[in-house]
Amino acid sequence: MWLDARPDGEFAAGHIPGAKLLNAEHWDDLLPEVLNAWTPGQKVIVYCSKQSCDASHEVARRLRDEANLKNVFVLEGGWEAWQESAK
Amino acid sequence: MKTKILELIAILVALALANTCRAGLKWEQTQIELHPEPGAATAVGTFKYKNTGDTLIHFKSITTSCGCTTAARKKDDVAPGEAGEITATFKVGASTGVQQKTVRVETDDAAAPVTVLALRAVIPQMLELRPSFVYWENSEPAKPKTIIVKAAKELHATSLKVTSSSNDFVTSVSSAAQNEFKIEVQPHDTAHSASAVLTVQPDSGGKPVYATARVVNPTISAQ
Repeated sequence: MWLDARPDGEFAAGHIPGAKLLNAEHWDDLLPEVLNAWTPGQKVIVYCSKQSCDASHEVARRLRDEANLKNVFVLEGGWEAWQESAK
Repeated sequence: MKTKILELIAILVALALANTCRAGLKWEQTQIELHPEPGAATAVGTFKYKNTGDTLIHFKSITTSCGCTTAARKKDDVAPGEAGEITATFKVGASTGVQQKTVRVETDDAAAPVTVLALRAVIPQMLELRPSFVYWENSEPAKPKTIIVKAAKELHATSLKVTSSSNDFVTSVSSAAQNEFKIEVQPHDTAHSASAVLTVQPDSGGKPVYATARVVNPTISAQ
């Protein structure tokens, strides 16, 4: 499962296909949908952008510490790295 | 020999003077840590600067690391000797814990064209749920699972109200210790998928927090 930790506007402008939005700004509203889509054992990869580079680490931390999810990772290089690899 | 020494001294003095002339924006501090009150909507940090050089400095751009942070300045140009400040405001929203945001300041000062100001806000959590997500896999016994709730003492909570968005789960609340509660969550059965959002609110009022409960069928995802 891909999770986008960027602000709403950046997500709307473009995101990894199939990624769900989960940012600190709207955590309470967005988290239930993410947890409802998650399945046990699934890898969760969180990304953000150079502009918001702290966000993915914070989202990953909260998923591990608060929701007790395992297999949560942060995409190194974020959105920009994915775009580069998709070229 | 004496001439060469004098020449060397003159060069060194000229270099020193050149460096002094180039001195630009000096920041009182480039890192600020904030501890907003529980329930505060924003955390505000003020970064003070002074132009210690002898040329005008122009702010080319000031950008923040996320939409949750804004940065404001009163003027675009800083005259020699003039002081000013940039105010960074972090909108707390649903954030908790340590939040680190940056403000990138770009000027026409060739010696230091970019300065990154760091704002670190420690956001207290009024109600901390651990975990905030409980689930049962298909055919796992439908036994209760526990969510521990720690309430900030500023909340003065003596009890919690928990409501479930679905009748597929039942909840019960008990007091565990001072400012600590236990929520027991139990599904009616684990034969089919189910999910619920649990709204947790202290009796003393204040913003509710949420937990999620699910019965997960590993072979068929809940839609």
